[in-house]
Amino acid sequence: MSLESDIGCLRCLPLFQEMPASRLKLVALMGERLQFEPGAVLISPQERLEGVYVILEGEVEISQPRETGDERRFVKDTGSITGDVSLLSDKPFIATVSAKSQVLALRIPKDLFFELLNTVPEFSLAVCRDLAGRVHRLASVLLREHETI
Amino acid sequence: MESNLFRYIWQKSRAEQVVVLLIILVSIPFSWASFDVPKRIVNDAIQGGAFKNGKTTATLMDFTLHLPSWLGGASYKISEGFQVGQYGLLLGLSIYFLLLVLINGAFKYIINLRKGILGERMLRRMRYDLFSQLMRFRPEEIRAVKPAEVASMIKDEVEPIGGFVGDAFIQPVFLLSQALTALVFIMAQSFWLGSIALLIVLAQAIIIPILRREQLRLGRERQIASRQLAGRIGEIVDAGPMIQGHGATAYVQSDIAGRLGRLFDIRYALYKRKFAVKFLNNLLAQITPFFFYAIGGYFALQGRLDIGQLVAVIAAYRDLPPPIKELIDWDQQRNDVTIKYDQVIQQFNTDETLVLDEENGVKPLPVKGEVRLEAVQMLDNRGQPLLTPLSFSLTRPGLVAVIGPQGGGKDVLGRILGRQATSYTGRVLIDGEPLAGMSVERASHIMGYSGDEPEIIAGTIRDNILLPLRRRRPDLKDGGPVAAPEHRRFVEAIRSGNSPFPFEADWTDYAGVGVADAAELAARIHELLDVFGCTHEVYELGLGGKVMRPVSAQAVERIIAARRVVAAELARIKQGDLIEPFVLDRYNRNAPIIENLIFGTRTTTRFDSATLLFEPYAHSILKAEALIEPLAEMGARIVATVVEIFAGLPQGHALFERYSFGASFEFERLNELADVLAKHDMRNPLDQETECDLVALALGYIEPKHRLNLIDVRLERRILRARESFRKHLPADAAEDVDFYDPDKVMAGASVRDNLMFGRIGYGVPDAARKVGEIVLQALSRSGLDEALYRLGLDTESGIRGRFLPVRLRQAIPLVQALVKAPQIAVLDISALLAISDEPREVVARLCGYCAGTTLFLLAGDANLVGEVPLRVVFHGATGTVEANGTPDAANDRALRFESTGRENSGRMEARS
Repeated sequence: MSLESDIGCLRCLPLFQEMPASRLKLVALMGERLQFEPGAVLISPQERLEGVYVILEGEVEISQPRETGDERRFVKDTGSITGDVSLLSDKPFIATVSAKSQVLALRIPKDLFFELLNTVPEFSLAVCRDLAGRVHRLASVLLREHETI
Repeated sequence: MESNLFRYIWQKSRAEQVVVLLIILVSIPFSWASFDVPKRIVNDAIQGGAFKNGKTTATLMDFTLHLPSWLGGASYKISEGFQVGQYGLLLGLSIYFLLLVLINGAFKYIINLRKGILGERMLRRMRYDLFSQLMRFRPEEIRAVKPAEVASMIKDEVEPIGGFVGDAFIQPVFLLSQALTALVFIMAQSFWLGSIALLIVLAQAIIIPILRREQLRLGRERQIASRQLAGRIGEIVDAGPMIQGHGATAYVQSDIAGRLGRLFDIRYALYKRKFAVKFLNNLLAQITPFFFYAIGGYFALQGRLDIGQLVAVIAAYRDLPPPIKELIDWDQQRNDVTIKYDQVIQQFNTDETLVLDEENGVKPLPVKGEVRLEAVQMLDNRGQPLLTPLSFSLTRPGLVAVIGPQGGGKDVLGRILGRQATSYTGRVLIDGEPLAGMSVERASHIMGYSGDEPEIIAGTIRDNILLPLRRRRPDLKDGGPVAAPEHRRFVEAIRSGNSPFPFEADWTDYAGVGVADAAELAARIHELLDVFGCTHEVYELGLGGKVMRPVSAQAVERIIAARRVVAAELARIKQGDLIEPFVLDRYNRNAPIIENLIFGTRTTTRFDSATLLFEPYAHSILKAEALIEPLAEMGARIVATVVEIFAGLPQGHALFERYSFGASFEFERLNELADVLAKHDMRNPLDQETECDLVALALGYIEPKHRLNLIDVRLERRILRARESFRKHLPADAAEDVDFYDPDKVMAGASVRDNLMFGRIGYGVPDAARKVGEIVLQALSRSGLDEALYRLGLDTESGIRGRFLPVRLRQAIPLVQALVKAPQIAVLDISALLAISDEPREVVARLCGYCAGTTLFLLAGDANLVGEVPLRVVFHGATGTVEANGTPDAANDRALRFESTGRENSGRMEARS
């Protein structure tokens, strides 16, 4: 897998769509390109999170054990950024993220993530957009639940 | 210290001064004789005075000892002498004169040498005394002094005093004797000429010091101004980065400029004075010969003075002004250094100094006892309370938690208990003995304190941890015969009143802290670091430590064994791709090209990638494999990419450093290279510098890290071929520069980690570094190397204020320092450590367990972390509240005499008055 294909993957993500090519290259080059076997754990709530993950290929599963005993699971697929909320709020990640299939991920280490936020305006804007989108979805879900009750 | 300089000098160097004085006295007759001989040469030998009345020979070398008339006036003839003619007499007297010149020169040499040594000894003593005095200051006073000012006082300002010491008594005697000899000699030849000389000398001696008074005042001003300048520069340097950050450099520069201007003005005034005085002095000195020629010539013409006498007088006068001038200089110097001495001594004489040492050794406290605080209160210099009156007591051994935010009464109480603050009122009693009255030595044995401002001095971690134990005076008796240089060092130290104990000796007080030897002490340190949860950090530091030659055969064997264990472990957990090992005939994709090329540790800078192309041997190898061009081309592509992706980012950006290519390339240099390449005409070869830099960039390239897709199998194969020929043809003189990789050999100069991995961590494996770290540690402990690794870790250099250490260790070292000496009372501020600890509760529990027999004052910010503690002092600002956990008898002092409100409920007491 070459850099070009990574950049191609990144470009497909809505998160990075508006980033200029040179910055996209920067993110792709700076991040660590990691390979996970199916079942391997990317993030666990016990460990302190040391970076955010951008899933380039494959699917990851987010699972959260509940008090009732059963687990709540949902699958996130290619193109999402994971761990940013936890890093930005300095709170532990609330669930376990594991690879469901063969996963190729780009890990942006914590310090690099903050450096990118600080120095590459396009990157910070992209993360903000992504976050805002998620907050919006969350809010609408909550409101709809409220309405139904 | 003695406030009068002359008394100080006389007290400390009487014997030596007297010896030099005696030598001077002995030298006077010779000096006299050397004045006398020229007269005889002229009168007797040249003018033939000895051959009057028809004598054809004169007696030479007759020597008669005359007793002075008050002893009877008898004379003894010692030598008859022998008869010589006029030429013989001339030659004989001239040789005699030469001899006297040599003798006088030898005397001068001996006197100057002795004076110099005397001065240096006194200087050494004075500096040592000043430094010792500083060590006796109260802690607050030490903190209040400006380091740069004190250093400049001890180092520079006393320097002229030291130079003066040798001259203090000797110089005036010596010079006066010289001047008087000359003067009396002139007097003896002619009373009138002598009187004139005397008159002018007196005029010099009276007028010039008066003129110099202003000069002295200016000198004093200069000293103070330049000391303040040193202090100010010291302050600014301390705050340097902050000042830069706020862009206040110009402002600060103008402050310094102003001070320099002030110094200039003082010196300018000084120079004007100095040269005016010099002019007058020279004038007076040179007027005298005028009188000699005029009046002396007149006498000679009249026949009242013979020519020989006149020549001798003028010759003698040549020797008169210099001593007088020097005498005046001496007086000037005396005033000068007296002022300097007063200035320095003022800074070092304080009313209250601490008693450093205990006379009869330190006896430990009984096992049980009591610590009592009676209305301990502290105010700052404006009268605002830092600690409102606090009273409580506890039985020893016991445990007290002192809780409060940073910067409040908690820290103040800690400093008081740790004897870092002494200006408090009220008393701290330990078994009824006031803490403030203890000697430094006794307190240091009983108390262990680690406060909110931990200090780590430059040195290894071990040096830092063992500092509190460096309190046993080394034994000077054993060890049999002493080597000559050591003996000399010892005698010289005693002569200068310095500490004779060698710094290199083992100062460690094993017995005093209850361990038998170094091994037990090491075990204790290990245990303590475990308590604070820092063992892992030490191992990590050890892994980063370098394996240095000579490596013992046993160590080699163990390292190789551990290396195999690491490889086996990796194979076992099927994580072979974590580390890509070094294999002689395989390209290591996770290592940079340079490592693949040389395939060994570079122990010197000879084969550094930055200059590899300029190294003739490496150049010839690269050339032979036709690698230079492809590498340069690679470098060019790297430059293009890097310049593209980093364009527009701030200079010196951390992102850029992260994507480094081994060599330290500035981004500007890359931009330059990009410009050069853009302008470059492909038909011409590149200039050497550019080519070298491009190759250096390529040499740092690692495909999985940089991912520019620049290395293909063909290039790999060529690099492997270059590797082989590099190895095969390595010249003999480069054998020391490279240590080739060999699975059965230790890589000297590489870190322990590299030695054990014997390969490079694979990029692209999640958390590879951490996993490898764990495996390496396991391998080490399995092959019995963990202790050695631990030792290596403790040998890590800590840097000023511990800047080279991981943050947790930086916090833990002062705590270990406080506990390693097994104090009976420990005052530990653990708030900073707990804040960065992964498992704060466990740390507190382990600490309390470790300190079971010790009275522990635990200073913490967060009460929840401390857990169940019988007695708590909780601070809000400067006011502390004593809380006992339902066990009033344990701690609560019901009879608090200093309680004014007297509100008592069994569990809670206000300790405010």
